[in-house]
Amino acid sequence: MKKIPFLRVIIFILIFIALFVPTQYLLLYRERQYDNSSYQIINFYKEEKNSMDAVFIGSSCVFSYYSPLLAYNAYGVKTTNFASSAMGVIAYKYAVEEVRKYQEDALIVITYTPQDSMSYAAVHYMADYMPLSMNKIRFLMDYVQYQGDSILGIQEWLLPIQTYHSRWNELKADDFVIDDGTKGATAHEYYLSLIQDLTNEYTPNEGRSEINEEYLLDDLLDYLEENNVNVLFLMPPRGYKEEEVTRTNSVYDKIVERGFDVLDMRNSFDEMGLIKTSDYYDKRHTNIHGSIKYTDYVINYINDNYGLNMNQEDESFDKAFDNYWKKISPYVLDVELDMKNRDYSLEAPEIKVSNNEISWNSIDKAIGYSIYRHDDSWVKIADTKDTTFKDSEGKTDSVYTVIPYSAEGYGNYNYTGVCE
Amino acid sequence: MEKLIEILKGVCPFVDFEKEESIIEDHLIDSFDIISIIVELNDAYGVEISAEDITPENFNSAKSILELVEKAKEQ
Amino acid sequence: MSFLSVKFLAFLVASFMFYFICPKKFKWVVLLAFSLAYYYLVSHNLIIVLMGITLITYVAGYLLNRNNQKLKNNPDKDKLKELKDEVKKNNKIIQTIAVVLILGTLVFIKYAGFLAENVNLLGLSLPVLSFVLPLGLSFFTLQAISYVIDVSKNKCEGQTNFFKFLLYMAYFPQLTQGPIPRYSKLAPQLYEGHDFDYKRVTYGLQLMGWGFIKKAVLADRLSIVVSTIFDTPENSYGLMVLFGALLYSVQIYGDFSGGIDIIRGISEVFGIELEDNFRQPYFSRSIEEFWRRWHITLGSWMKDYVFYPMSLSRTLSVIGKKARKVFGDNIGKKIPPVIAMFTVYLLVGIWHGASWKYVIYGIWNGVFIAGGILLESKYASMRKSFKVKEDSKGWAVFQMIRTYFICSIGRIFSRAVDTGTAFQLFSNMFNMNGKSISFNELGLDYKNWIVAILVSLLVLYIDYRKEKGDNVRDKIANMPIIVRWVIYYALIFIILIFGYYGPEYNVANFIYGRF
Repeated sequence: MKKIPFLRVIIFILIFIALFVPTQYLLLYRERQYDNSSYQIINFYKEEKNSMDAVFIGSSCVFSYYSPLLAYNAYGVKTTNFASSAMGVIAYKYAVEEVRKYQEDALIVITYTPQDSMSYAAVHYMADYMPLSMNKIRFLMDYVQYQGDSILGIQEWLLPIQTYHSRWNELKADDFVIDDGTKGATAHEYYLSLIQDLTNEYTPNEGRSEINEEYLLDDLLDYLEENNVNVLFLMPPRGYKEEEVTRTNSVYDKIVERGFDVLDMRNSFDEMGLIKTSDYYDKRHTNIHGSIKYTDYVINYINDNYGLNMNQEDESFDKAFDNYWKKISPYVLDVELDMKNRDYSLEAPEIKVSNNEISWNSIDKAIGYSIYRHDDSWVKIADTKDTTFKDSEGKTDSVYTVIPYSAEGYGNYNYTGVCE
Repeated sequence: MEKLIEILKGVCPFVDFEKEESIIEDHLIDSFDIISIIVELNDAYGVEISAEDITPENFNSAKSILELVEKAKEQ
Repeated sequence: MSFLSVKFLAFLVASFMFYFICPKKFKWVVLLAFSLAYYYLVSHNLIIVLMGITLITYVAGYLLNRNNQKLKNNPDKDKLKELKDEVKKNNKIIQTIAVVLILGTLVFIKYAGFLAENVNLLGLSLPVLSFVLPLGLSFFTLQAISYVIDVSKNKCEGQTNFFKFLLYMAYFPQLTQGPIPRYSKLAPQLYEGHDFDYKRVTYGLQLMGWGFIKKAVLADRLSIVVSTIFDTPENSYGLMVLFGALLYSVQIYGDFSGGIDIIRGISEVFGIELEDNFRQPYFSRSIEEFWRRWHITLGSWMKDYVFYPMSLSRTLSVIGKKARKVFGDNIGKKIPPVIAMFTVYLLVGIWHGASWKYVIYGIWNGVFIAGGILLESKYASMRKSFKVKEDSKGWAVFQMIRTYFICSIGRIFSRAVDTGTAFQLFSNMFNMNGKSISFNELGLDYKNWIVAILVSLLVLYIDYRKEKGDNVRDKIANMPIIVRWVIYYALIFIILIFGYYGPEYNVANFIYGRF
């Protein structure tokens, strides 16, 4: 056997790997414009180990509702999400295991939604960004068998370049940005600016029905029990089909029976200040305005029942919030983010504009009104106790909104604004 | 030999049969030419060269073709 | 299983590992095991057909061999001629039976339905059977026939070890699409076993890589456009059909020659040299030359087992004599080989598949070749009157382009889904007023077109260098290491990024996956 230049071969392979890994990473799917898909998995691993008080696990019903960055801004709490689009119950166990590896003492908050199964794509959203580990392999093996495929099927997720290489066609400048500096906070178009009416999408129902793939839930609860995990289950307020309501009721029973805590918010719209006609961008997700209210409610609940380190200061969170603010300021009012000073009972005023004279109806319990004009982002132009205001600097197409406030804080307002 | 060269040139005028030693390997004649040559040889010498005889060894040079013809005469 | 899949690559790596670890004497066993495993994984129970044909061929070879040995060992010089004739007669019988059985199997499995369909047009109602084709059926049956005939004529010695012979028939790299081997060239290489040789193995891997580029990057990319044009003939007219045909020529070349390169590359790693099936075919100046450069082993099989025997047969000799009386000497003596040639192309056509469109494809090629031969003198005088400079570059280029067009148009018949569609497309091509699908809707965006064009130019360039006599891999091996490695990495990443493989990335899956 002629001599083999082993050194050369090894170097060739090492350089290949060095080229391959970033190439594959570049091609992985990351949707930003209309969804958050994997961003909050990517970000989870960037947080300092054992620095989070709580970690939220689940699907888009996590990152579209609970905002760690806005919670920090309002309360100074350090929390994060480990959530990816359409994450299914089968993955929860492995998500918890993953979270506990990096954030040992954090409260685990699992959002349960009646999600049927988990698609290959959803597994990609989660697994593509998990570093290789026994946990990841166990997850993939479990999933593959759950799908009825052979174990060898896990290679699809171990070498995701097979699925994504045709994306070379669609790469944009955005894809080359490794860290957009906002801790992956949700900032897609629908979340920021879409409004859909949720009325009639949820009707409370005391019935019970069969739990789909019940064994997966049992498995999860067994795992949580065996490992003595400090866990809270959430059930968010959103649209549910009748069958989903009864199923979730059964799930609620089971979780409680097993001795775990559940916060069932399905019928808590009023209590949380959520307005069905304006705080949602589709049947299943709050928009940023609803998300602010939800985050506020949940943080307070967790603090009351588990205790949280409030008023912390953290440079990375500060920086991330500054970057995030630049993205969201066209869509929200600065005072809206100040969760400690909000009074959700104040209704949104109905506004009329004529010749830059803004007028609105008087709101019950309001002691004053702040008027904002939209110049690229919302800018406060006045405070008044009246119900009219004349904007001398306004133009013919200026857009205005009015937010009422009471002693407790700021209320609701017209998110899109009104113009002449 | 001259008679043979004449016959060969009659089929493939552009091949230098006097000099060439690897006619088949160098693709100087094609399968159609080979058949035409065989037909001419069969006619001219009254032999029966068959398909089995078509090998590079037999057709690589005028000399080997002549040997083939001689062998065929003996059959 | 697809060549470019994790499954196949894992299979390949395993076969390489076992082959090199195994002692020389048993390396052929490793090849046999992997070949049978491969066949079973792809065709499952149809492996029985392969086994059956192998058995028939092996037995025939065994018997023929025994007869030949009798002749060789005969001490009696006087009885030599008598023995020779007897052996010849016996061999002919065994050969005929074996060939009939093998050919019969091929015809039955592949063509029974087609034949029944057509016979039924005459009023009968035979059952129109349709069978799944065992992998490589059209190839290994030809391979078997060539073995039987070669042993019968004592051109090679038969194989006495059944399992060794089974390896020859089942050798997995070449089973799927050739090249069709000859026993005397391939068998010794299969059995002798080769040690790991760094240069040879890396050359083999490079050849595989080049094959993947042609197949997965170029051919599969173009197939999208070709499918759009050919599979919806109601949207293809005039130049669009021509364009599709010309494009298909590139596609099929990339696909077939790419596949062959992968196959040869794999074999090279094992130290087994397979014949090249392609010799820069689009540099051909005539259709006749084209078939000497395209699917070479099929052409040479036809030449040795159909063309030569047929054109020197008794029947055609008689026809030849009659033809000379009717058409004069010059044309007359060309008639028998032309008939044989035409038959060859008819067979080549029908060998591709059981459909009239393939028959027409064969006839199309046959007509141009036969025409070229019979009308040779007419063409020569036409060239004289047009004052064509026969050794000019311009004339050569013209011939190549002409050949490319004729070849491509003929392929309309082989590529079209069925005979009816083939005719529809062919006639559509002359309809300049039809409304064709627009260029943008062909299925590739401009970025993909750029990739296709660049790779086509690369393939053209490499083929051009090969035509000039360069050994491309040697040239690259002699370049400075940095340049070489850049080329190798480029090769690998072009395949990884631009190749068509893996679960199809479906945007819909991903957008709706979040719900």
